[in-house]
Amino acid sequence: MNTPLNPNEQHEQRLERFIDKVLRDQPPRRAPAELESKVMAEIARRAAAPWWQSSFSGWPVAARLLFIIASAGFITLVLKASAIIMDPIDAGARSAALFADVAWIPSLFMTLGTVFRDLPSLWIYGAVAILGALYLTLFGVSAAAYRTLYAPR
Amino acid sequence: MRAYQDMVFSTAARITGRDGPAEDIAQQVFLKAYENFAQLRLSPAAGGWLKTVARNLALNHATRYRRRWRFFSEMRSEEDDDPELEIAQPDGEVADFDDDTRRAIVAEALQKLPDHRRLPLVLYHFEEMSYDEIARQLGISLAKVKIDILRARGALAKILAARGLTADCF
Repeated sequence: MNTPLNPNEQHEQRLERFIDKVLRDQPPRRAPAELESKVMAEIARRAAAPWWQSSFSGWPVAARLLFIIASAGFITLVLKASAIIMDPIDAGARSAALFADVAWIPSLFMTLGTVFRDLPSLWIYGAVAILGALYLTLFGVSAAAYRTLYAPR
Repeated sequence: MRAYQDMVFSTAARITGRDGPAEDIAQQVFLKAYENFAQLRLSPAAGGWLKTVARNLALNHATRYRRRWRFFSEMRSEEDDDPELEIAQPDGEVADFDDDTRRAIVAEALQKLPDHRRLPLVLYHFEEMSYDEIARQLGISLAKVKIDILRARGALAKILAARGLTADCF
């Protein structure tokens, strides 16, 4: 058995029907006249663009292979250079002179690594928890300030 | 493209509420269609595919900006009124409009709604999404969707009434 609607619900249903009718009566918006020409121009521009400007999957297979080999070579080179930086004493005098100015960088990272390794894990979790609590507090204060000072205006 | 461009542009314009982004979105939709031309060329569902892509891109655009103020918007109490929607009631006269004028008034009234009210209303009435789908899509509560849509309807009816458009005109 259907329960009769209260006046509020009846009003809401009438309103919904009215707005639905109003909106469904709206024809589609007309697209700008230049939309088609813009799309065609973009398609033509993409077709005319050289292959290396397209996405990696659009590159020729040989170019993709060459790129992967070159990247691997570059990574190897970087790793070898890093090894020289990490061990400046064993490297030749020329390398040592070249990297003397930045020799403190690996030692800094090694020191930081040692500090983090030796820290009790409880300290690390505690620091993360404190940072999280501070972040949430700041967020809450900002939201409260927004609501108090700005939203009611 | 000519057969679908109005539909695609309309979908994007109604969701974003702005013509500039809607045109960019329509352009992206047709470029995606061009990339998938082989599958779409003979498909009877091409229109549905275009509409879905347009809706998703427009929603991505709309929700990207919505996220920035959503938290604060959700914090506002439900009793908060929209001062900009306090519009005078009609004086009882029912105006006689032709179809084009009436539709122009409705389109203008829709634009006057704030984004957080207009978007759920458009998704419900134009895109035929359910309350649940809208809540999921916009990342807001079901109750808020219902209230936003109800208030948007009320506000739209008020704006239309102020311009002399009532249920009798349709």
